[in-house]
Amino acid sequence: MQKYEKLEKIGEGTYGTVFKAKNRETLEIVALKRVRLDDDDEGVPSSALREICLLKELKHKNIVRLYDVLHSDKKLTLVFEHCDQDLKKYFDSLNGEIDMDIVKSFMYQLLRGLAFCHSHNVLHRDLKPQNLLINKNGELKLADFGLARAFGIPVKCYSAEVVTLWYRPPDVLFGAKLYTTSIDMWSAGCIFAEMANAGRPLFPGSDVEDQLKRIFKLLGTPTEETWPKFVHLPDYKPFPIYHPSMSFAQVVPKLSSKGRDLLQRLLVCNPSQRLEAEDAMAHSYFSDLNLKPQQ
Amino acid sequence: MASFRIHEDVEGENAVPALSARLNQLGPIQTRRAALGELDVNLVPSRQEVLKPPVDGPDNRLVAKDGSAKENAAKENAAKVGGKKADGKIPVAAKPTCQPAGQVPRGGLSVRSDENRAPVPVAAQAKVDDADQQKRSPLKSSTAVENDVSLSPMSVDDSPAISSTIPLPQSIKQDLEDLYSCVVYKDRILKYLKEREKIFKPKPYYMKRQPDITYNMRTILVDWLVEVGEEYKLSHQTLFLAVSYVDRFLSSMAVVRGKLQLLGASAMFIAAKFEEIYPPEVGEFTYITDDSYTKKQVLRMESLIAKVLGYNLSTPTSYTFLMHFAASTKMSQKVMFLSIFICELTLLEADPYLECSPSLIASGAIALARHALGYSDVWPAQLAQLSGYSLRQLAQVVNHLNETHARSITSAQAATKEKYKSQHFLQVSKVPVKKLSIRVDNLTV
Repeated sequence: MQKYEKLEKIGEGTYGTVFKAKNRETLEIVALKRVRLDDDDEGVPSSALREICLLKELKHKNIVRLYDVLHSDKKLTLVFEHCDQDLKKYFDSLNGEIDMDIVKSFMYQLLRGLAFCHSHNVLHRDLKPQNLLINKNGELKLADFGLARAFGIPVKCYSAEVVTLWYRPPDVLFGAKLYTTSIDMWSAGCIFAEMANAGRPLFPGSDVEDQLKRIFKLLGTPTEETWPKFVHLPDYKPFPIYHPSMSFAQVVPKLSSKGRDLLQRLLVCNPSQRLEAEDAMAHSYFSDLNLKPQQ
Repeated sequence: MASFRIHEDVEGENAVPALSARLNQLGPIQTRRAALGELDVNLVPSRQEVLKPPVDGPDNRLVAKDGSAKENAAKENAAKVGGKKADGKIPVAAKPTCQPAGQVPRGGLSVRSDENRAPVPVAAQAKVDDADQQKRSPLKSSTAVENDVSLSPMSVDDSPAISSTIPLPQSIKQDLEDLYSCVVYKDRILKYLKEREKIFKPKPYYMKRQPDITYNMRTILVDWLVEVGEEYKLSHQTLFLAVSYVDRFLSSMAVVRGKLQLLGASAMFIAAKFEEIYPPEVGEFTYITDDSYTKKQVLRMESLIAKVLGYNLSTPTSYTFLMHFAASTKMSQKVMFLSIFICELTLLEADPYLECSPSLIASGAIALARHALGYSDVWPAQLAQLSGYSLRQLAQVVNHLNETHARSITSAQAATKEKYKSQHFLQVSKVPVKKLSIRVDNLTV
């Protein structure tokens, strides 16, 4: 007898297919992620292996919970807590309007989940609205740890082929393989601006060059002073010197000045100057935080 | 929902009986266990190797390829995807020399236990030599061929620091320090890692309950894993993790000698998947065992290890702590490499090091390295504070470590020593062993 009754397909993860399912005994709704294991293949994909062992360690209300792993010869099934939708779908339902208290609550929860990952030596490396789940109670949870990895101290080189283009920081766009928690903080900044604009992506680049151009047009092209030695990065290419033509007030008009200040501290090209999740949580923008605004 | 569980997928239609069950059914094996029986085990296939399918290849000895052609061979291998490897196959360095390893009584350095044991059966000895000869013969030509092989597409990552086995150039080191300085979580991470090392400890005396394998076999296995790590340029952490997976697995599962190498290969495979950017493919792990096992067996063992360890694969090793301490104290490269060398030597000796927590071993290795390199203050306050160990608490482990370090000079398991002879590691395995005379309060260590 099957323990779970499949209800519907929810989507495709970094690897494997995700289904909504019901536990036949408890009637609890869960999300199942299925990974096929073929004998001619490489066994358990490293993304699944990392997702399982990292998520096992990360028990936190702002991180999706992994309940169970079902392991057979032919397939691997990860059983997750189910959330109603992801942030991307939530944006689609908004019609261009979002409550700024919800933005604040989501941003705080995103940072809190991230601070927990980072203090447990895990980098997410693929933050984007599709990977942030939200439920009816207004809770936000980090999900899809398929690209996540444990980092050591000191950091060593990791893959530069991480993070979806629009949320990828300039150092990684230039091919940096040495990175640390700052990689996720850039993505968090991009998501913050996107939330404040009710789902309009901040830097929807078409390729690496276009991505960097969009970033530098908003923030100004980095210089040796603002970002020492960045010209030595593996894939460095010179860019025209852009001077910011738009203010943040124009970029995120609905966001309060404190919110804009926080955003500017996250969207810093030089990774060593980017705010850490914990410092961001202490920012005055959150001083009037209400974690349960009316949706 | 209750706590996390891992179990067989009940949905699996054609569920094959779990390997674990079958391994467990084996029970004690009634092979001859003469005094030196365990040393030639790899030469005599066990009669009860239920799990082993008929392979027409050579015996199960721990075999590695020629070390001298390492780099090119590794790249070539990486380039071949599931292709024929017959020509390039040069499994030379036949490991199990008939010498007991590592098992020196705690008390002193001078006593080797060899003389208490029965002599190696002549027949077995001869067989070793034969096999060695056969395998060495094609070496030269293959090496020459392999040297011409150009870089494979797998080696796309040309960063000088891709492997932590290569010292970082100054500029990158600077960047690294810059990056490191912004890790505000380092103290909490260290605290977290120290909690985790307690949870995921192997059982120190698991070998007593293993019916068919011994510490010596484990030592031979680890020495081979060191070579595999070198062969594929895997990071230190991958090796340390693989050995810890092996020990944790053996703490709860009985393994027959014929499957010990399979366990080692699969543990390395999982550790590489967890740790490396480009882990070698499964085919490489059958290749390095001289095709003693099939891909299917390696993958089955992978699943079994994952299940037995409950997917707790992100666990701290002595290398984790060592690097943490090194980064936090701006340790010199020489001290760091010598400490890594000493930590790596401890992997070979289950007794006594399975009893020691990884952070203790790392701390002891640093103190010993500083001593060997002539520092008068072997355990500065900063390190004591960071690690949470006083020099007095380290006394016993430093004593063991110094014996281990001394043994490395004559040990038959030479892969580690060879590895650290290179200029990359500032030739730290050539640093002479120094007599211990560290004063702790009134106690001389």
